[in-house]
Amino acid sequence: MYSAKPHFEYNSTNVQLPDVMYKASSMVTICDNTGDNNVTQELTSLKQRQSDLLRGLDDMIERVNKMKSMVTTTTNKGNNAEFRDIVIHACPSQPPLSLKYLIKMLRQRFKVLVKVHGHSSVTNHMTSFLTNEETTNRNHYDIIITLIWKSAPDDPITHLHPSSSPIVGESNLARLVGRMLGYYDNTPTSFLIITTTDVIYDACDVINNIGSTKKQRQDALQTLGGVLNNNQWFMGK
Amino acid sequence: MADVENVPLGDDGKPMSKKALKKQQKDAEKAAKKAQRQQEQADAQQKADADDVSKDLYGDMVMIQSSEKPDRCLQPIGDIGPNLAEKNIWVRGRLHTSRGTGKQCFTVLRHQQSTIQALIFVGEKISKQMVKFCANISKESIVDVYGVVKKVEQKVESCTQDDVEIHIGKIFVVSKAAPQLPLLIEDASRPELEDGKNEEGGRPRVNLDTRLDNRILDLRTTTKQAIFRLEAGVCKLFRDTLTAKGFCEIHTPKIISAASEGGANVFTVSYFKTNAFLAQSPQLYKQMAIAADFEKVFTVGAVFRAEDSNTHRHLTEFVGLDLEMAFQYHYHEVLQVIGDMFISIFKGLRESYQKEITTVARQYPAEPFKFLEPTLILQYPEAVKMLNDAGVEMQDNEDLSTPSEKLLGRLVRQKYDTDYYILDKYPLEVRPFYTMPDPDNPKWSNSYDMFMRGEEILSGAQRIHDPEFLSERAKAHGIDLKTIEAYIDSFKYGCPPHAGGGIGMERVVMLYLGLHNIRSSSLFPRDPKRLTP
Repeated sequence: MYSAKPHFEYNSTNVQLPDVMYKASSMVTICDNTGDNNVTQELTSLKQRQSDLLRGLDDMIERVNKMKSMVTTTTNKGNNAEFRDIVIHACPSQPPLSLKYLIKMLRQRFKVLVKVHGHSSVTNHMTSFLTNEETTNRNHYDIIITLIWKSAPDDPITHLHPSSSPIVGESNLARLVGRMLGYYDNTPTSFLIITTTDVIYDACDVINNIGSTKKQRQDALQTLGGVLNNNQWFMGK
Repeated sequence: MADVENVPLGDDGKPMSKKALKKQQKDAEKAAKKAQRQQEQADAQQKADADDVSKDLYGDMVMIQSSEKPDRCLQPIGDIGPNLAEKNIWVRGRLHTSRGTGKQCFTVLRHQQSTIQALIFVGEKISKQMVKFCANISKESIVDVYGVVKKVEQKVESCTQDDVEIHIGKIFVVSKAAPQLPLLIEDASRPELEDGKNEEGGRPRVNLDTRLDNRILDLRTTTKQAIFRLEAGVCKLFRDTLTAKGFCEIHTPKIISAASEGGANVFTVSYFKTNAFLAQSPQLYKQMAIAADFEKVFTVGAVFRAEDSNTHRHLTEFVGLDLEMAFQYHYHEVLQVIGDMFISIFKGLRESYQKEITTVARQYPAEPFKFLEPTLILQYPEAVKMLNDAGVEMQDNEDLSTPSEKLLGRLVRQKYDTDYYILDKYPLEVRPFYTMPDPDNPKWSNSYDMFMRGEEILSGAQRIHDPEFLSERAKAHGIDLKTIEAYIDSFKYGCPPHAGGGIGMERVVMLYLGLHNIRSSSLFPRDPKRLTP
């Protein structure tokens, strides 16, 4: 009969519907706002300590990094100025005969400079054994072999650095060269080779040593003969 | 007053007073005593003379005024040995020591590097007075001795001629020395003690200042005679080796108008109305000689450095042995020549001066000098690495400090067993402006230093011979070109590439013999505190 206009218009935007059932005061208080002094102080000091520790840690990290970089420069320099000067003191009456072959082997892989000097204690400078090589720049070489003829040592003595102890004897020199050429790589398969090589070197030592008795020399020769068999070279190559 | 009649009369005829009388008496007594004493002395003298059988065999010689030429041959003490046994010889030497009892007197006679024992004892022909005279001759007097050479069974340890002695027959004093000596030659010859101690077991040493103040006496010791003869040997070998290689000796001026090397350490002298300087080094003139086509020159002369360094190795005036050489293509040609020259010097000293080396070693023992032939030449980066490995923190563009040099010397000695080596390719920034840079890497230079027993003895380089390049380098060093105009002009009219170096003679001798102070190898040393003798 009558249509009446609605009294209201429900628009969701008009009506504020409550989303909270009960409103209660917050349990978690913010310090600044509440003003409780003791707790504030503890927390500030804690914060201070934390930031100090972090700063100290940063400092240390910086220092370690700096030192690491310093260390790397010295090792770098070590690698760049890098040629090794191997000084061998030998007596002309007992020249290290294997040296010529060791140098030949080294030359297969590295640039080698050979220098020969006569010490003031000897007059015979053995110029026929190895010849002195001239150079205008030692830096061009990887290895420099300096052979000094002296009156003193019976066995050749090799010096690498003044700080390291000298290496005595020709066989030990051969071991050193072997190490430089990479023969002593500690893989299990090469253990047999390495051990046999050592036995050979020791036998050579006995033969070379002036103090060995005839019997000792005979025994050493027999050992070598056994290893060599009918091959041209020890170790077959 | 006493008896008037007995009073004696004085000079003026009047009687004398009591005082005058007493005085007269006293005078008479004195005269009588004197006369008596003289008589006694004369008696004694007569008695003595009467007993002196050796009256003509000793005494003070009349001063030698070249009044005669006796037919006498004086044997040098160094040549007296068992070969002259039982022979009568005349000897002239200094009285080194003497000790006498009443009946005998032992003396040691010294001549340069040699000493010999001489003794005199009372006998048929030798009187007590003569022995007494001998014992009373003051030390260091020069004496002429006539005697017979005798072999000894037991070696005379304290003398160089240890297998013989002289039995004195006649002794005459040629030149007397004042009795109080400021230092005893015996004390000055004793081996030095550690810690600079001055006395040990009642045997004193003479310290350096006393020696230098009384240099004439100090130089008489056998050790000093040997040192300076060896020094002469160094100069002789330097000259002979270089002359044999075609070098020409030149003499450069020492009074110059401008300070040559960098550094302000020059002495000024007044030169008429202006000032002049004493040359710090013959560098400029050596190079001018090369530009004047002499090609290979060396010079031996004084070098003056006004450095206030009171160290064991610096003098204000020393003798410089300098050389300069034009080369063909590479400065290593010169380096080789210098290295070979040093080796010739060391070998020559070892061959011909062994007696001197042994004499010096008695008072200043040191290890014999070792070297390698050909000379060891290391490069600067190698040396820096050796020092770094040994714990010295340094970069490879820094100069070597003196302690580093000494340490490097020890490291090289340990590894290569040599006291002498050359260090090549110094960094350019620590060398003077006229040093030629390395062509491949301008960080390095064509320069070198040489070391003996860890101390530097020579600094040298390839010099820049192109005037434009030289001006550039001088500007890069901040040097005002006007002050070195004359130097640059020397190269204006074409100059061959050249290199060279200079050594200090005293330093080489000091280091060769292992002495510890350069004043021991300088005849009359000059340092900031000493101008005399």
